[in-house]
Amino acid sequence: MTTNSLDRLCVNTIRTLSMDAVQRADSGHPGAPMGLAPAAYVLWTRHLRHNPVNPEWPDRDRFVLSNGHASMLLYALLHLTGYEAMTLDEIKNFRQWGSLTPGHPECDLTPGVETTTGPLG
Amino acid sequence: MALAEAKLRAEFGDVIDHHTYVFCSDGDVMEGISHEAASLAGHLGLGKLVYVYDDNQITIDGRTDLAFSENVLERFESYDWHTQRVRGENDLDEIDIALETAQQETDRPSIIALETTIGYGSPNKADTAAAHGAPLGTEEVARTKEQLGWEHDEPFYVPDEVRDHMDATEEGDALEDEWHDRMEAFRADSPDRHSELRRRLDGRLPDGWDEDLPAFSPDGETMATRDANGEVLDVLYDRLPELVGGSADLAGSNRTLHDEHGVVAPDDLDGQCMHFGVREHGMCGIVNGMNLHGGVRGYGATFLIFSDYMRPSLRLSALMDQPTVMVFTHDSIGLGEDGPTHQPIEHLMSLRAIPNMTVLRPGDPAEVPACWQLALERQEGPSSLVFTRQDVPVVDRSELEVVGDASRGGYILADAPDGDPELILIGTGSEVPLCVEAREHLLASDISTRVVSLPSWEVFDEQGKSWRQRVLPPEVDARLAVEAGTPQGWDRWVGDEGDVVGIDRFGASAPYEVNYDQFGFTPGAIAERGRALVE
Repeated sequence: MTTNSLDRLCVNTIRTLSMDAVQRADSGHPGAPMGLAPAAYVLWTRHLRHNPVNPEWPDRDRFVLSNGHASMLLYALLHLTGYEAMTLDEIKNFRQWGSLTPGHPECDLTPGVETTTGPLG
Repeated sequence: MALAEAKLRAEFGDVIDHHTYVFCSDGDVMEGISHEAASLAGHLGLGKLVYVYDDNQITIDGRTDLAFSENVLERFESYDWHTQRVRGENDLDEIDIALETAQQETDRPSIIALETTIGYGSPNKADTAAAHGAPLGTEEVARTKEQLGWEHDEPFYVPDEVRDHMDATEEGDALEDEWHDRMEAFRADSPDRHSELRRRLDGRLPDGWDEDLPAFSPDGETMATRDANGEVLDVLYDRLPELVGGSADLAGSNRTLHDEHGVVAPDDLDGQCMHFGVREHGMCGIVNGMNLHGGVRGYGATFLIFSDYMRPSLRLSALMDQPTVMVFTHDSIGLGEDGPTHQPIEHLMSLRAIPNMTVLRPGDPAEVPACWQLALERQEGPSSLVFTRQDVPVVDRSELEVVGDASRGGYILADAPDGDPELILIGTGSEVPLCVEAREHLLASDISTRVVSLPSWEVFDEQGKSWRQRVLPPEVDARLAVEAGTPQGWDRWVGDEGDVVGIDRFGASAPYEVNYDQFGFTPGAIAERGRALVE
């Protein structure tokens, strides 16, 4: 598979969603999602075996965003690949009270988040 | 997670067969736990674990070379990882090939160092720390979009063709259907193994799992609660094939050495006994990961003092509602000659201070099985099981008026003869038998005394007010708590009129009997403090 304009558009959508969400929240970490968008796109569209319809499928591949501050990267991927709970409104509510899009990913809160991360390591 | 997958695959075959992908940053690979976890993953040869290391050379303070100049890939090579470097951050095919290569390496974990640019596309902030933890600013966002060739002014715009292309629901359903087919074939071939796997994936304990737990009766012998732990664990390993865990290099001391149940080793992942090495933080992170994955029930063990080394992961297990169990032995100055560096003081209370953490400190060997039951039945949060190094008696309950039992978190172990106490002694752990003995002194002085064993504040709290007030009647305000740790916090149970026999300084290197005597943990000294409350 070669890089085409649709691939580039997808990668840039991950980037723009990330920076827009951080901008609206007036806080957050835009830099890492913008840098990691290509790798995330390739992994999630060409390799990751998961089922957005059933985030609990036991034999799914696990994706761990250890650098949890890049949470918007994960939320953008969940939204774009079709996790029902991760609506565009949730992304617009990034880092807000009661949203599924807290500053760092929380697995007990958001379907598709495998583990709570943020404290590095 | 990768370990849980590898273990289940070793046990059940290809019905569990998936990758674990991790994105990590410069900061992640600097943190100590990354060394611990990656070292063990390399040792065990977890070939389905793939890291993508975001090598952007920027952390919050600036460029990483302010404080970080090691060769990360050489480090991982020395852990026996497969390593690759990708320089073209926007070269999707190169990334694709690197991921494929990583997947093809099945004997070792893989790391791909991907050289990226933080804030890629931002004309003024890319490749600087300014892109890390703050919004780019409205103007910079606009300029970035322009530089990226993004043609849509509306924020949060998702082009339809992107949505169509990235939607993974149909393919995901097909993948899961294919797995169900594999599971059906497995069911047809091995119905018992299939239902066992199903049970474990559902996180259900097997019927009758706790029927054969040992009981400890008073026969005049003494026994450390860690020894009772060892006997309970021996049965649990048999009854719970999902139980996987062990110690951070203190298996003999923690009484978690049960290698006859199979040691988890590079060429044999099917065992139940883990040797985590001297890696407490890594151990707790790995146990959390196993429990998050499901199908296995992870636990770890070390000295209580080293709970400090794993606190971040303990805290995360509580935050994530994970049923992680940690065994902490050598729980006080009672460990003796190793001295204050090894003697916990503030640790019990600081574990209790973690929201959603259940701390269980059985008062004698007889309470140990109930504490393990409470820990294992808990599905929505971690438990800390706290045991002594030193011997304690099995309290002879036959002559005592007992109301309730350890499964209620707190109960009346020895009631006042008339059921109407003027003084209540509240003990945990090894201090409970001391309280029972102190009660004899007090009864001899005509002080009507009840002893409450309180192995778990949290479980006792969950029982509701009527049980709590049955055990600790509000009208009895002469209450003395006895615990070989910081007194801070005990006012919760003893109130303004009560008192605490605790330790508000560091311990000392001496035989444990001397320590207990010097720090006031003797039946006579406890009775004296109790007497002072009623006089």
